[in-house]
Amino acid sequence: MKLLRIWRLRLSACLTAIALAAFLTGNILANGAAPPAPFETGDSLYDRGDYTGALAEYRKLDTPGARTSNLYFNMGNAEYRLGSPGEAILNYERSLSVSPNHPEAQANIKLARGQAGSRLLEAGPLQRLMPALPGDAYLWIASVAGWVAIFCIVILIAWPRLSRPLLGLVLVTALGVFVASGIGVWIRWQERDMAIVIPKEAIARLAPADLAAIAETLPAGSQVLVLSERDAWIYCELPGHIRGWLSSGAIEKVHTRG
Amino acid sequence: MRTRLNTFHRLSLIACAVLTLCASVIAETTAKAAFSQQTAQVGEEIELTIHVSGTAKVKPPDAPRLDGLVISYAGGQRTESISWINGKRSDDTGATLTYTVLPEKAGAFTIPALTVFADGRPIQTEPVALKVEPGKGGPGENASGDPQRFLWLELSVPKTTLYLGETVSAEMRLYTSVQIGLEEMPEITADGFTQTKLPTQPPRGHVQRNGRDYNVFTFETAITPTKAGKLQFGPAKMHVRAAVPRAQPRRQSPFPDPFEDFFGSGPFVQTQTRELTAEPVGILVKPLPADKPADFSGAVGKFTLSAQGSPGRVKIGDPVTMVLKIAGAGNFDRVTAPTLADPQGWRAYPPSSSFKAEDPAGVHGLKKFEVAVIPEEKKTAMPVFQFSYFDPGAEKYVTLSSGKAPLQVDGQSIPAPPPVASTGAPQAPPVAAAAPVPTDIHGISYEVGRPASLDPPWMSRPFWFAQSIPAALLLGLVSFRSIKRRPDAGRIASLRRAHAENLSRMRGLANRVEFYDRAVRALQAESATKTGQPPGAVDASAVCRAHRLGPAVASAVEKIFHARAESVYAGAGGGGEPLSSEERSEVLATIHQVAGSK
Repeated sequence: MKLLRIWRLRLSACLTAIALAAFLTGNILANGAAPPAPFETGDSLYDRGDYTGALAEYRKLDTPGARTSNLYFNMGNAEYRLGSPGEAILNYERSLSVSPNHPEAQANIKLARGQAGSRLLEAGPLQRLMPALPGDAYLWIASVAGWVAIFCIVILIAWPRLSRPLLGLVLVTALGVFVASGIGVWIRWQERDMAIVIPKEAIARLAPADLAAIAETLPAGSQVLVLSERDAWIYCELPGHIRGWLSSGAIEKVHTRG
Repeated sequence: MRTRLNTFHRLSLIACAVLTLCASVIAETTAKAAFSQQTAQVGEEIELTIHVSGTAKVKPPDAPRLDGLVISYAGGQRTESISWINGKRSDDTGATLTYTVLPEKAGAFTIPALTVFADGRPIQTEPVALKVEPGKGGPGENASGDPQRFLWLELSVPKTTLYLGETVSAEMRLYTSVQIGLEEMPEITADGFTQTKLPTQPPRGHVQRNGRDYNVFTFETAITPTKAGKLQFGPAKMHVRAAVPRAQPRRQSPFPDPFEDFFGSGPFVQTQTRELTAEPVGILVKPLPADKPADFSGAVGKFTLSAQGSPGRVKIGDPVTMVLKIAGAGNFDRVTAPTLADPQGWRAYPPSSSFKAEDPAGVHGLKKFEVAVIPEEKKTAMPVFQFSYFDPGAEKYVTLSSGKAPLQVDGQSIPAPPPVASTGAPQAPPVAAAAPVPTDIHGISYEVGRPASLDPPWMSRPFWFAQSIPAALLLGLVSFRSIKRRPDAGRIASLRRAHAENLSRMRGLANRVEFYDRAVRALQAESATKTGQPPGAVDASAVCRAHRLGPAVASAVEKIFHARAESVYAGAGGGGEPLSSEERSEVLATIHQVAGSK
């Protein structure tokens, strides 16, 4: 009877562990599924020179949960071939947003920007210092460092006889990593307001009116930072640290929901 | 009785005298309004005067508002007159209030009764009529042919036919022969045009019209049509404060006007706020022809292009800085950098630009571009740049080219880039300086890759699940630390160990004395965990109380304690009998029952 009870307990513990593992690895298992058909169809259409068809297939996958760095990269290529440098650069930006070290996207965006004469926002000193990591990588690092710091503090308080110098060193290091990665998170969060000029040329005006004086003329693919929106006008920070109003149809944000 | 009558007569006389005096005062305080002339022409300034007699302490009424008449209070003056009627002298003290009236349109007008406060009492004037006839110059009477005119506004555009995007310098001119002060910046209605900001300090010049000298203030602005069709530039409106001539000289005023001091006015001028309006100018805007050159960026005007490159000798891969200057007149905001006429063998970087305006409106100027161009093969001349614009004068597109200046390029040509395989495998990023210059994009990736959310990670479920693990760990750590250990936990553990040890030894013992001794020690250890007594002090009754044993078990416990006492203290007689298996089982069962009880 006792043995039976023990085995029952062991069995339920095993089942709980399996369920937990399945929950944790659910995403990984799902990610390991076969690539959706539209991607392959898009690739074959692209190879045949049907860039419009390829783009339509790729766009079917531009949904939450199916977006990949390579999807945006391929969409950027199709837009480039269709003669839409603004759209192409926007998609390369999105590809790099998912995977900042995508080498082909880096090369293509450089080429497309050079050809379009795109103007870029100047990176701040902190942005130049931070390594190119995805925004969520910084958040995970900050999270781990934060927990290590919290555990160090709790252990130092609860077990005062333990080695204080060692724990202190770990605590200071963890706090330093936490602050640095927190800055990384903040920078990546700021970049979420970045938008790209889509038409071949967009006129930024000093006021939200078609007849207002021109603040700047921006070529396709230029970067702007969205500050506020009013009806069909968007107030932006433009390259060169000037500000102006752009028509909402002239730019598109790099980061979309999902 | 007589005395009373005299007193009554006297009082009556005084009352009559006072009443007569009051009546005469009331009767004599009058107000009368009149125009300086009954008929006026549009644009001809006349005066409306209100004469108050009987007192000089008057408060002027507000200027009446009538559509078609601009009426402004010009000031008041004290009047004194002496008259002889039937040999009697009559002194009259009064005030004259003057208003200027500027008819804006023809028609019959009636100034309603106005209320003047004289010595604090309201007095009303009679309504007065004025007939206004159309002026000689037509509506508005502000035609420049009017020799009496001293202040007007006009819009001037050099061309009335423009092309879409063509920038011209328009002027709004304010002509005046009197001193003026600007109350606000002029407003020009310009639907379908973009216009630059008007200058706050317009330049002043002098012109002569119809034999009169005028100061002219010129507000210059650059206008650019943004749509084709028949458009109107204007009208323009402006408010000015002007020191205008009086219709007739006046006498000294008891009501000083601070603006008069500012304008230095005297008895011949008065200050007025005028709204000036300039007639709109009709402009026909034509669309640009369809045959646009490929590099046409929307520049419309008349431009020249010059280019200068340096240094004159470079190695392949080293940059040549080209300074490209576009000068002339037109919409410089649409002038973009010239493009390479033949990009073969050249790599150009995005240019920097600067603009220097040569007039306040920014129509004439010089736009300078600096472009870094790298030769990728042997060249003998600087790169040729071209720039296209639309010339509205010639009504055609013009493409300008920079000249071919000599250039010496040393070194070997950069090899063409190898074809790039379109695979998803990561490739090394191109090296900046020595790497082959890419001329085409990398091919598509055939691997879909791992889906990623563009949402911030804190909106994802795994992130928060991952956070719950260290949080639970931390909670467990804190809980573990905070549980208080029982102070007698060590003693209880020691007694339980003793109980278990005695029980295990009892199983193999055949010696009756030692068996019962171990049995009692086991019971004492077990009961001591509950009573808190030392184990040696626990007797049979203490065991029964501690465990609340029933009568049968209690009897068995007493029997064990008794047997132990008998075997220990009764010498060889008590402990010599062998221990039967039934007795052993019974004792062990009793101990287990005691241990299992609450």
